[in-house]
This record gives sequence, structure tokens and C-alpha cells, in this order.
Amino acid sequence: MTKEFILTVEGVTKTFDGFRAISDLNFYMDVGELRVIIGPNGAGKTSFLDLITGRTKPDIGKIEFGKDTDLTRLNEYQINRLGIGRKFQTPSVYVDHTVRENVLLSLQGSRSVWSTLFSRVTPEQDDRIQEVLETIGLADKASSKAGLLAHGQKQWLEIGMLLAQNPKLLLVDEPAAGMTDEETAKTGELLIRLAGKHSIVVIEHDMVFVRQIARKVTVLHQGHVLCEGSVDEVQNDERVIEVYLGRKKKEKT
Amino acid sequence: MTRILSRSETVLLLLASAVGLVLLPCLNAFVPAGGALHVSTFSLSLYGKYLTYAVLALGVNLLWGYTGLLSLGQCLFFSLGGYCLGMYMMMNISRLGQYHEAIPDFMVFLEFPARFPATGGLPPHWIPFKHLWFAALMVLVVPAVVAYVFGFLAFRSRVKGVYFSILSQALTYAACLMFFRNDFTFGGNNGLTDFKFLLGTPALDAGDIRDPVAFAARLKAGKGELDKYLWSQIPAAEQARLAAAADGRAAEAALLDGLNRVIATGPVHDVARFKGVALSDATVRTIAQAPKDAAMLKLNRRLLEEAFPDDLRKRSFTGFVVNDPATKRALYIASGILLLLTYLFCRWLTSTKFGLVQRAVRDSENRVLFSGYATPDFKLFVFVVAAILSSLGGALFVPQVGIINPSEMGADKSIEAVIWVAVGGRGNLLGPVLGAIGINSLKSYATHSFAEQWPYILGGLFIFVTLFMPKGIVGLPGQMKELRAKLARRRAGKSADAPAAATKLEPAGKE
Repeated sequence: MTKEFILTVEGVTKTFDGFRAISDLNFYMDVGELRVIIGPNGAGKTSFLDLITGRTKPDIGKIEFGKDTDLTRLNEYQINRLGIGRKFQTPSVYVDHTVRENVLLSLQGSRSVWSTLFSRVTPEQDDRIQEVLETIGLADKASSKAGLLAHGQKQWLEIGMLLAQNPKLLLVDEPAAGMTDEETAKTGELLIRLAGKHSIVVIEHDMVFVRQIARKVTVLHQGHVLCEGSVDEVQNDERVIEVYLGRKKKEKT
Repeated sequence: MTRILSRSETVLLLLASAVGLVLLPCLNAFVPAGGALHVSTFSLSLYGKYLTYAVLALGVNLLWGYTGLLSLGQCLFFSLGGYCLGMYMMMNISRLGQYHEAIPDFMVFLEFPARFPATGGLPPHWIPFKHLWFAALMVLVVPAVVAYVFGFLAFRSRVKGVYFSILSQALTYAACLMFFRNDFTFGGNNGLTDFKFLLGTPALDAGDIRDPVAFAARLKAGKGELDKYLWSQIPAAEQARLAAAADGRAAEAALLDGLNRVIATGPVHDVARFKGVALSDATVRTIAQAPKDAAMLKLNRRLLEEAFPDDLRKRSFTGFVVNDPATKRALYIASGILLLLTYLFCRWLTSTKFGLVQRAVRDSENRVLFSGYATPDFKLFVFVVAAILSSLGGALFVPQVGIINPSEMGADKSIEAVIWVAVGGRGNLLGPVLGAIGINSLKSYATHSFAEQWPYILGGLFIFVTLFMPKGIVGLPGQMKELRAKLARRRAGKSADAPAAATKLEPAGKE
């Protein structure tokens, strides 16, 4: 292995009460890559993110971040502090806080109890918040409560909260879920813009959206990587058609 | 400060302080009893109790309203604070209790001298509680340690939601059962009571008698009426000890025991006895009031000092009598100040970035965890802070009600505290204070007018508030406004159907 990956997942298996959610999974990702993961329901996409972010621990296998940081030994907040941000499927923002406060809490910096008691917002932090809000197009909503945002705006805010931390790796779970076509397209543009600066994993169902953003697609099936390649390659793959697209067609008829 | 407190809040606090901390105590002190505006000491003490409850409610609110941790065990910490100060007051009775022993009465009654012979019956952990500073320190340390250990275990193992509530309830219930046991050394089901003095005691102490041997000889000689009376009041056992005393120290110990018994038993004053004694004006005035109980003991001490100025050292201060109106007033004011400081502290805490994290944990703990914050640490910090606040409330509660027993940490008490917060309105600072004072006023009225129905009223109130007033009393104005807006929309909707569809798209706030 000569190349350095930002994320290395090797031989990972995870069972829940006898059900193999992830089975002997191998996954490698380059620095700065934008990778899309697709797969039918129950393929293990969200479980995969849970494993990377420390929410669950693998039964066996190796999960490494960068050169040699073992993620399986760390918990959620430790992993986050390494520079791995995760966006949940349902938008999870702090509904009672203003948009600005949402971003403020996510800024890079100390996370200790003590520092939150006595820290003041610096002008640099203010600038950074403004910058993030402009990136996600919510600058004019800075002082409204996050709970009052439209669904799509909440999704963007959550992505903005991840950006505020300036993470090395972004894990984005179904960002376009529940969005209008226009919002979906905007989200796609945002992710494409961010790729390169950050490494991004996107989990998605919406094939139009996948087409818009994907360079390399990984198809998961029954907790295992079925195939990898460009969107066209994947869509023409026999096995993929059978387990995923094929099944969808059958359902329709 | 000005930025943390809004202008209207500052005005409100100043107004509340003016009425609560200045006006009410003045009406108690300066308006004669029977006057239309007079506030009785009983009422004032009752209000003082409500104020300590309000401090407890602010602690509950910090956990439940701001962090989403529904603790059903906060009265444990309230009681621990009460017990710590209660222990000090028990020790402070020294030899002036019913049994005239150096240990608190209940220890004599429960035969502790046989259990702890080395210390004369005093359990070793009680010994430092004779110092107020130690007791005050323990008011902070004991609940903090208990909360830290419990919180550490609970939050590390990710105990959440109802499981946390049940566990906290179990904790206070277990503590309650433990404190009920007589051999747990905290007075069993009677708890600690019969408090007499604060910050000092009129009991004679080592060094107060200048020359014990000479003084004993003088009393024994019985020249004057008073000398004769005092000697007759010293029990035979102490007289024998005096006779057998090998040195000054032994004589002092025996004489102290004897004289403290005199102070503790009867009214020492008698016109014939004190015929030739020059008493100070203040003492003469006190005699005219014919004081009882602890106040009488204080007078006894002063009479002895003034009768024997050469033999007894004069102490300018011999403690406050717990039941004295002035002491009660001071305790009431102290409770008010504690509530004000607690309020300001909570206002500060919730306005910091810590406060933001706190509410973020309440609304979306996962997001906080996946943003790099160690949420267990934050929850632990709030839990310990709330425990200390509750404990401070308890420490001021006990001298005002005059008793602390295990029923204060019963499961029902903690649930009641949660109801105050729910009814007043959680997630803000005014609600819990209003809830605690309001419901307890109602309770005081209800429990002597229709005591049996009270639990149903309280339960009904809780259900009503939960169903129809999720933001409590404080949330009512907002609710009315919303209702009016809704009605207006409905009226508008009748004329044109389009806006009704638009309102559906509005995102609902997470409850």
C-alpha cells in the first residue's frame, strides 16, 4: 500500500442480535475524494457510518483514519475531535438556538466544560460564523431560531455546522431527503464545492442527485461492498441491477 | 452584568427584593402585632421555607428545564444539606439538652455511649460538626460528592431519559431507608430536631470559670442565697466528683457539668435569690419578658455571669436562639438572599456558552456528542451544581422549620419539586420560583382546610398543566397570544382557503 488513504476499513463485521448488519466490509477512500454510497434499504449504510463515528464498535476488523489512527478504540466525541464530522439523516440542529448559535457551538476550539464557562466569542470566530453562514446561504437567517427554518434549510445548517469545525472527513447521510428538486440541486452544488478541501462520504437514495455529484460510487448490499465505480459503470453492473435497481423495477410492475 | 440581565428583569428583581427582603421583614419587625399590616413571625418563617423550596426548584430546573435531565431525587441533596446544618445545631446544644449530656439527646436515648465508648457516645464523624465552618463546608461537599459519584456512573454508562429518572428516584429512596435506621447515627425516623442555638451556645465551656476550685469552694460554703441555691442544684454525682477532684482540670470538668445543668434546668432568676446582685438594664428587661426554652437558658447564663463577675468570664455573645423572632427574620432574609444569588448564578450560567451546550444537550444530545463535546462531562457538571444549590436551600430550610427527618428525602418530595417546576414553567428562571412559592402557599392553605384531598388536587394540577399548559404559568401569555393568532387565522381561513394550506407547511417546533 503506497498511497495514503484518509479512511481505511478492512474486514469489518458487525452483528446485532445475530443479524449481520456489516459483513467483511472493505472500504478505502482517498484524501479529498467525494464518494457516494448507495444501496437498498438495510444494506448497512447507516450502520457503516455508526462504525466510523464510534457509535457502535465492530466485532472484528480495522477502521483507521489517516495514516494510523485506530477509530475502534475511540468514542463519538473523541473521533469528532480528530476531524470527522457527521450529518444525520433527519436534520438534527438545536431548534431552540439561533442559527448563529448553532454554528457557534460547532466552531473549532476547546470543548471542555471549563472553556465553555468562561470563553467569549472573539471577532475571528464571528468572521468564521459569517463565512460559514454565507457558504450555506443562511446569512440572512443568522438570528432566527433554527426550529423555524424550512426542512431544507435545516439540512444546510447542519452541513454548515460540520463545516464550522473544518473537518477533514465529512460523513453526510441522505442530505437531499425531503428536499424540493431545487434545494436538492443546490445541496449538490454545495457538496461539489466542498470536495477537494474536505473528503466527503455521501449516502444517498435519490439517483438524480447521485448523478449530479458522484464521481465514484460504492454500492453496499447486505453489509458488503457489491461494486465500486463511476455512476455509469455501477448502473450497468449486472449484480447492481439485480439487487437494487432490478428489484425496484420489479416493485413497480 | 447589564447584558446578561435584561432591563425588565433587573426591574423585576429589584422590585421583588424590595418587597421580599426589605418590606416584609420590616412589617414583621416594626408593625406591632395586631396591626393590619403586621406580618407574623410564623408567616415570615413560612415564606422563608418557600424561598428555600424555590432554590431547590431552580436546581431541578437547571437539570430538567435546561438540560433535559428529569431527576426525581433532588430532595436527597436538599435533605443532605439540611442534615449537615442540623448536625451542627445538634452539637451546638451541647450540655443543654433534655438529658444534660455532652452528646445530642437522641444518642443518649439510642444508647450510643455503649456503641461508641471511646468518644463518650459520639460517633466519630459527628465530632467535627461542632464547628460551623466544617458543617457549612459539608453542606457543599457532601451533596457534591454524592452527586458526582452517582452522576459519573450514570452518565458514563449513558443512562438516559426515564431510566435516569427512575435511578435518581431509587437513589433518594435508598438513602431515605438508610436514614430511617436508628443505627445509621442520624436520628432514625425522628431525625434531628429540638434545635436551640445558632452560631454559639450559652453553655459554659472550658476556660469560662477562672478558678474552678475556688469557685466550687465558694458555692459549697453557701454564704449567700444564690450560692446556696446553685450548690443545691448541682447533682450529687457532680458534687462527689468535685470533692474527689485531684487537680484543677478535673474540678473544672465536674463544675462545668454541674453549672450547665443549672443553666439547662430551671429559671435561675428569683427576686429573693438575686437581691444583692446588680443586674444590667438589658438583663432586667429580659427577665420582665419571662423567656422560655432556649431564650431562658440564654438568660440563665447571663444571670450567672452578672452575679459572679470575678469568677466567670463574661462572653458578649452566647448564640442566637433559633426560635427568636429576630433569628427567624434573619433566616428569612438569608433565604431571600440565597434565592436571589441562586437566580443570578443560574442566569449567568445559562447565558454562557455552557448554557448553550446545556440546552443543546436537551434538544439534540447526539448532535452535541458528534460535535466533539463530551456530553457526560457537561451533564455531570450540571448535576453536581444542582445538587449543591439544592443542598444550600436545605441548609436554610432546616433551622426555619426546626426539624429534618428522612421523610424529607422520600420519593414523593422530589416528585413534588418537579411539579412546582412544571406548573411554574420550566426552561426559564421565573417559572420554578413562582411554582415553588405558589404551590406551597396553596398547599399550606389546603392541608389545613382539606388535607385529604390535597394529593388529588396536586396530581390533577400536574396532569392539567402537562396536557394544556406545557410551558406552565410563565408560558400562559405566550399561549394566549398563539391562541388568538390561531383564531384570527381560522377566521381569515373561512373567507379564503389558501392561507390555511400555507400554515400547514410551517415547521413545528420540537417539544
